[in-house]
Amino acid sequence: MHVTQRIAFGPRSAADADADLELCVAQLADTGPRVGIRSLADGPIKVAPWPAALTFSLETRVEKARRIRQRRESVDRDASLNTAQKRDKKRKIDQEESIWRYDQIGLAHQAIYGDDPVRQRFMQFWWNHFTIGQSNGTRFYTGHLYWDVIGSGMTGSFADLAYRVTKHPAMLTYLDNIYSVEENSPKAQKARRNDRKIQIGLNDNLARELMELHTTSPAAGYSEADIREAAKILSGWGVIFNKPVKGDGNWNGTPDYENIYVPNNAEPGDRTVLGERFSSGKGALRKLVTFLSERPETRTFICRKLCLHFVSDTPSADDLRYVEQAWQATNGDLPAVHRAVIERAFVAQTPKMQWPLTWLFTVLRTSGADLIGGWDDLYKERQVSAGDARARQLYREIGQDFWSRRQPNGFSLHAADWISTEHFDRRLRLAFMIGSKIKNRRSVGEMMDHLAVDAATRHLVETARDDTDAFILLTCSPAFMGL
Amino acid sequence: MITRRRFLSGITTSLALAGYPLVGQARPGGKIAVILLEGGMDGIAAVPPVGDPDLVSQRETLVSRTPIMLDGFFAMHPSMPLFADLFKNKQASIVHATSIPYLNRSHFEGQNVMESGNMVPFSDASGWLGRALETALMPGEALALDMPLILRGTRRAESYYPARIRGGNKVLDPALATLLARVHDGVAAKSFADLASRYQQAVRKAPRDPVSLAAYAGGEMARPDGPSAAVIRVGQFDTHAQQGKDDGAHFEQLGLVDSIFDAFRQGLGEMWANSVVVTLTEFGRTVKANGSDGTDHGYGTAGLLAGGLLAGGKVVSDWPGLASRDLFERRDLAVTIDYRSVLAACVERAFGLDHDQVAQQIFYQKNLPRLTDRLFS
Repeated sequence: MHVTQRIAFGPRSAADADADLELCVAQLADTGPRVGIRSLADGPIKVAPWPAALTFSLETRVEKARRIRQRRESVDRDASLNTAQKRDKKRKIDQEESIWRYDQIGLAHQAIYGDDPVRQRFMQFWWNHFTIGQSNGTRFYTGHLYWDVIGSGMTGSFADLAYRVTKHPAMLTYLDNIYSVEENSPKAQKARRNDRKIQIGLNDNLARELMELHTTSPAAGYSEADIREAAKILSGWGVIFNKPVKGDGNWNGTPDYENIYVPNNAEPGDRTVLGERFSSGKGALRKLVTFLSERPETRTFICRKLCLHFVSDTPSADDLRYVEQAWQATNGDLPAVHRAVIERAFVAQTPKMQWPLTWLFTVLRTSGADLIGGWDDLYKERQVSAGDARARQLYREIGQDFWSRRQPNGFSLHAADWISTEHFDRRLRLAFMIGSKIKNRRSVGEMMDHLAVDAATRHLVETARDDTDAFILLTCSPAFMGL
Repeated sequence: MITRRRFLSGITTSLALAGYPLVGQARPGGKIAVILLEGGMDGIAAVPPVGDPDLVSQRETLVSRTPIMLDGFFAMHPSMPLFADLFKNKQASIVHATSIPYLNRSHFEGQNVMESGNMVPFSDASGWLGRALETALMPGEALALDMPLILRGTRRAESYYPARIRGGNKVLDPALATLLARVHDGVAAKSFADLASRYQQAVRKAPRDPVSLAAYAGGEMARPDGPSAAVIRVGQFDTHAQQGKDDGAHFEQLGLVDSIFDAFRQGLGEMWANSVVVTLTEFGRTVKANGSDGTDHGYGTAGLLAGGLLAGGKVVSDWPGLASRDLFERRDLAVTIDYRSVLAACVERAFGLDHDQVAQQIFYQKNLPRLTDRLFS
C-alpha cells in the first residue's frame, strides 16, 4: 500500500509517488487558495481558484438558514398556490438558498484537484471526530466548521480546536445546547414568577458527547453528576440560529455567531466536573474544555483514533506510544501530533482499509477521471458530460454523506464496519461507471506505476479482458482498498 | 400526510434479512423480526401508564391528551392505532418498565450492547440474533448496506440494499467478483464471492423507505426458502428537544413504527401466525421533561411485540410506579423486567431452542429469568 493512500488520496503523479515525508508534513501548514472546477461541459477541465462568491462566511450561512425557512413557510401559507406551484417555488428557493451544496462539491474538488490532500485527510478526520449531523439547519453551517474552524484550528492545540468546535453554531444546534436553560437562571426564575407554562431546564446532550465522544471518552469514569455540571457550564451558549433574532436576554443580536452567550439562560455559581472546580460565567467553558482536553484519557483516546484512521487497522503498541509521546511532549499541539502520525504511516506495514469516501476520492485523484460536476453544473437539468455525477448523490450511495442525519459518534473507523457485500457492490458499480464512461483518464498501467503496486496486484490486473475490467480490478484490489 | 411523506423521504434506514436454511437441515418454522429503535425510545410516551397517579404531575408536557386505552391502566399513544388494534385482537403485547441491563446512558455503548447481547460494551464481534440463528442451524444472509452487529456471528453473511448509481441496475460480470474473491481474504473474500453469485441472478428490486422495506422483508420471510430473521433499523428516537405530546418528532417516529408493524403483518401474510416482531432500544428516557420540551437519556422503557406466536393482548409488567421515590436514580423509570428475557423468550419460541441454552450461549447469563410463559401461553 502506498503511503499516500494512508495519509492522502493516493499519488496523482510520478512526483507524488516519490513521497517525501517533509513534503507531506509541509502540506499540513499549507493554506493556499482553495481550488475547483467550473464545469465539465467544455472539454478538458481547468482547475481554477474556488470563487470568492461561493466562499461563505458564518454570517451568510446563518442568514441563508433563516431565509430558506422563512421563504418556504411563506410559500406554504400562500393559499393562492396549488401543490405543483408550491413545489416549483420551493425548488427555486432551495436552489437560491441551499449554499451547502457548494460545500459538497468543494469537498470533492479540493480532495481531487488540490495540492494539500494530506491536510484534507486530517481535516476530514476531525470533521468526523466532531460529527455534525443534519438537524435544524446545521447543514448550512457544517461547511464553515470544515473550512474555517478545523482548517485553521489544525495549526494549534487540540484544546483550542475542541473549544472552538464546542461553541460553534453547528455543534450547539446539532446537540441541542441552544435549547438548554439552567433551572435557576434568570430566564427560568422569571418564567416561574409569571407562572408561564414554558419548559425550562437543562439539556445535557452536548455535555455528554463532549466528554464521551469529543474528549476523555468514558475511560475518565465520570458520573451523571459530572455530566450535569458540565451541562450547567454549557447553558447559555448559543441561540436558535435559524430563527429571526428578537433579542434574547443580554445578548443584543450582534452577529459574532461563534461567541454567542446568553447569561439569561445560565445560573451563576461554581461547578465541579471530575473533581475540578470552575467559576461561573462565559469563561468557564474555555477552562472546562481545556481541562478535559488535557487529561490523559483524552490523549490515549484520540491518539488511538488517529492511528486507526491513518496508520493501520491494527495499530501496534509502538504506533500508539509514539503518537502519544508527541501529544504529551507538546500538550496536544496538533502539528506535532499529526507529524507523528504521518511518521508512523510512513513505516506502517499492516493494512489500512480506506473509508468509502476516501476510496472514491483516491480513485478519482489517481486516475484523473473527471466525475464530479463543477459549480456551474450544479443546477443544470441534465448531465453535461459522460461523467458529471452529483456529489450529493455519490456521497449517499457510497454510504458516507457528511450532510445527512446521523449519530454523533460519526462514521466508524473500524474496517469490519465497511466490509459487506453491499458496500463492495457500490465500489464495483462505481468503478464500472468511471472505468467504462470516462475514457479521458490515466491508463491503468500508469496508475499502477504511481501506486507502486505489488506483483500480485499486477498479476490480477493482467487477467482483465479489457481496459474497463482492468480499472475495476485495480480499484477493487486489496492493495487499492487497503485490505 | 405531507409531513409524514416528507419525513419518510429524509430518513435513513436499513434492513437486514438472515437465517436461510442449510440444505438438508430441518428447521423450526418460526420467524423473528427485530425493529431497532435507535436513540432511546420513550416508553412512557409510547405506552403511557394513565392509571399511575403520578403520570401527569411528573411529565405534564409530554402526556398525550387522546391516548387509546388498552387495559384500564396502560394506554397507547394515539400515533399507533394499528398496533392498538393488533393488541385488541390479541395479536400484540407490551412489556413495560423493562430494558437491557445497561446503566451508563451512552447511545453508542447501549446500541452495541443491545445488538451484541453481551453486557460488556464493544467486547463481542457477534450479535445475539446471529448467535441464535447459528445455534438453531440457520446461518445468515443480511440485506443491508452494512452488516449489522446484531446478525454477525453467522457463517454466511450477505448484505443487500438497492443501489441508485447511474448504470447501477446493469448486470455486472460475475467473473470480476469471482476474481476479486480469490485475491481478497476473510470476510472481504466472502463478500466478493456472495457478490458473484448475486450477479448471476436476476436483479432484485426492493424499495428503500422503512415501511416498504418491512413489507418486502415480510414477503421474503414468508417464502418457503426465505430467511428466518429480519432486522430493520429506525433512527431519530433521541428526542432531547421538542418531543411533543400529540404531535412532534416522537409522534412521527411512533407513527412510523406503527406502520412498520403493520407492513410486516401484511408482508408475512399467513406466516404471521408463526412470527414475532419485537422492538429493541438502547434505553428509555427521563421521566421528567428537560428544558427543551424533550427528554434526556434514561433507563426503563417499553418493548412492543406483535405476531401470531404471541398469546397477545397483554401488558406484561411489574409496574414500579412513577413517584419520585420509585424512580431509578430518582430520574428514570425503574426496570423490573430484564429485556434480555423478552428476547430470549422470542428465540426460544420461534427457533425452538431451550431457554437455558439461549440464556447461556446467546446472552451469556446463567440465571436469566424465563418469561416465555407470560408472553407466549
